[in-house]
Amino acid sequence: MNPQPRTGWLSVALNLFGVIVVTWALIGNFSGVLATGMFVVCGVGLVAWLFAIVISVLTGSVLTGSVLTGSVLTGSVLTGSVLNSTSTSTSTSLSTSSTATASPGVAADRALFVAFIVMAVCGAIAAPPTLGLFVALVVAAVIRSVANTSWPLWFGMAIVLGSMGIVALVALTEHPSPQAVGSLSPLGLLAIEGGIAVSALGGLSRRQYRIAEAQANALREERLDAREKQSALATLSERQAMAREIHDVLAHSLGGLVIQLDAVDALLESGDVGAAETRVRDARQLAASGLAEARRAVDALREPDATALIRASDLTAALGELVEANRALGGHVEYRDSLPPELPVSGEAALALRRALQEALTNARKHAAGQPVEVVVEAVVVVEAVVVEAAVTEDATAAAANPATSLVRIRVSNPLGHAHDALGASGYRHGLNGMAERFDRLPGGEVSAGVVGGSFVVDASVGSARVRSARVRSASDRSARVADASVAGEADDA
Amino acid sequence: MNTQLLVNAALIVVAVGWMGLRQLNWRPVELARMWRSPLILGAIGLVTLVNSSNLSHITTFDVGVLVFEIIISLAVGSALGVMAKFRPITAQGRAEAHDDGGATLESRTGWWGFALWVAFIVLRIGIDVGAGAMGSQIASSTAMILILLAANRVARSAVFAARIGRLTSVGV
Repeated sequence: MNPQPRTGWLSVALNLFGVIVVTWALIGNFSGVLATGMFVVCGVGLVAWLFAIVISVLTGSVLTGSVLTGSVLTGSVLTGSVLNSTSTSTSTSLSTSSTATASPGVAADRALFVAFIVMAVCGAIAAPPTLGLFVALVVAAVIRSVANTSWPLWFGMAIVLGSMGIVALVALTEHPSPQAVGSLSPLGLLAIEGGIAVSALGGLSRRQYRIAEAQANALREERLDAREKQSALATLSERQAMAREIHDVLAHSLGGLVIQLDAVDALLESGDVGAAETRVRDARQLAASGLAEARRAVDALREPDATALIRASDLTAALGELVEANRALGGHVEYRDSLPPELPVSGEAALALRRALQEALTNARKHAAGQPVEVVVEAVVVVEAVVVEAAVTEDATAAAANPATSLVRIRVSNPLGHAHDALGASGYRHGLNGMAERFDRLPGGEVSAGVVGGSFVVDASVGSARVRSARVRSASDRSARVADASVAGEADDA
Repeated sequence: MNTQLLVNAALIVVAVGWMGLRQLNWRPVELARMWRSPLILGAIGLVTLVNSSNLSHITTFDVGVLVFEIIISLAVGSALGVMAKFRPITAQGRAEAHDDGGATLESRTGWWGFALWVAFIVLRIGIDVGAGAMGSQIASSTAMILILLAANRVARSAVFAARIGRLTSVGV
C-alpha cells in the first residue's frame, strides 16, 4: 500500500553497493599509491557512510528519514505517514517514533547529520587524489542532507559549498607525486565539482517531492476531517428537522386536545352533557387529524419530496383546513387569501408556511385565548432593487431572467392576551425557533415574530419559485424594498 | 600585465565604492532585476574567459582557484542575503530609486554588510596575488572578476527570494 519502505530498502541496497564498490576500487587501484594519511581519511569517510546507513535502517526510515525525524522534532502533520511507513517495516521503530520522548529521534537526527558532514569532508578531501572516486561519498551525503525536509535548506547547501571548496583547496595544494596513477586534469576537477553540483540539484528535487507529498497528506487528512464534520452536521440537522416536525404536529394537536378536554370537564361539571358530547366529538376529530398529520410528517421524513412544486391552491386548501380546525376549537379567525391559484410553490415552502400558520394559531390560542386572530395570505412581488442585489449571488442569471420574483407571505396577528393557564406557560419558544430554522433554509425565507402596535404579529415569507435570491432581512427593509403589488397579474409573470 | 593590474585595481575600487554605497542605503527589492544583472555579468564573464587566448593553457590549479573563489563568493553573497533587513518601500525610497512601482519592499545590509564586502574584496586580492605568484593564468583576469561578482549576486538573490517567499507566506 505504501511504497516508501520498499524504496527505502532499495536505497539501503544502493548505498551498501556504493560502499562496497568504492572500497574495492580504493584497495584495487590506490593501495600503495596514496599516502597513509589519505588512506585514513578514506577509511573514516567509508565508516561514516556505513554508520549513516545503519542509523537509517535502525530508525526504520531510509528514504523517509526526514519524515521520521521531522515529525519527532516538530510534531508536524507528517506523523501519519511516519506511522504508516514504520509500521510496515519494524515494530521497534514504530515504538521509537510513537513514544512521547523525542530524544531517540533527536539523537538519531544529530548522528545522521554528523555522519553526513564526515562523509562530505572525507569524500571531498579524498576525491582529487583518487581521481574522483570518493566524490561518491560527497554525492550520497549531499543528496540526503539537501533532501532532508526536517533540516533547513541551508544545512544541505552549506555541506554542498563546503565540500566543493575543500575539493578545490585540495586540488590547489596537491602536488602529484612521481608514483601517482595520474594527476587530476582541469576537466577532471570540473567534473568532480559538477558532480557535486548536480547531486545538490537531485537532492533539491527530492526535497521538493517530499514537501509536496507531505502537503498532499496534510490535505487528505484535512479533507477527511472536513467530511467527518460535515456528516456530523448533517446528522444534527436531520435531528433538528425531526424535532421540529414532532413539536409542530404534537404540540398543535395535543394542545388543542387539552383545551377541548378542559372544556368537556367544565361542561360536565355544570351538567351540560349535550355540549360536552359535541366537545368530545370535536376532540376526537382533532385527535384524528393530529394522527393523520403525524403520519404525513413521518412519511415526509422517510421520503422527503421537498423539490416537487405544488400549486398555490393546494397550499391555501391546507391552510384553510388549519383555520377550520382552530375555529372548531372555539377560536375567532378572520382568514383572507389572495394567492393566485396557479402560482407554483415548492413543497418545502408550502410545508414551512403551513407549519408557521399552525404554530401561530397554537400560540394565539395559548397566549391570547379568546382574542380574534387575523390571517392574511398573499403574494408579494420583489421590486427591481432586490433583484439587483440578488444579481451578485450564484443564481444571478436566473434572477436576471426573472426580474420580478414573487414571495408568498403569511401574516398572523392577534391582540395581546394574558397568559393565564398552564398551557400559556409551556412552549419555551421551541416553536418560534424551529420556524426560524425552517425558513432560514429556504430561498427567500424570512420570518419575524413580535409585538407590533399592541398585537402579536408573526410575519413569514418565502420565495414561491426556486430562485435563490432576495433574502429580505428585516421587516423595515422589506417595506422599503418590497411592493405589495396588485398580486394577481404580476405574480403570474414570476 | 601592468595594465591589467591597473584595470583590475580601478575595477576593484569602483566595485567596492559602488557596492558599498548600495549596502548602506535602502534599495528597492525587485527580484526580476536582481536575477537579471548577475546573469548578464556571468554571461559576459564566461564569454570573456572562453575567448581569452590562454584558455588552452589552463591548469588544474587554475580551475581549483576559480572554483574556490566562486564558492567563497557564493558564501559571501548568501551571508549578505541573510544579513539584509527588509521593510515596506516608502514613496520617498521609490522616488529616489526611480522605481517604476514594481517593488513592494526595500532592503539594506548596513555596516556589517559593508564590512563583509570589504573583507571579501581583500581576500579576493590576496588570493589573486598568491595565485598569480604561483603561476595561475586566470586568477587575476577581468573575466574572473565578472564571474565572481555574478556568483555573489546570484547567491544573494537566491537568499532574498527564499526570505521574501517566507515573508509573503506569513502575510507581511
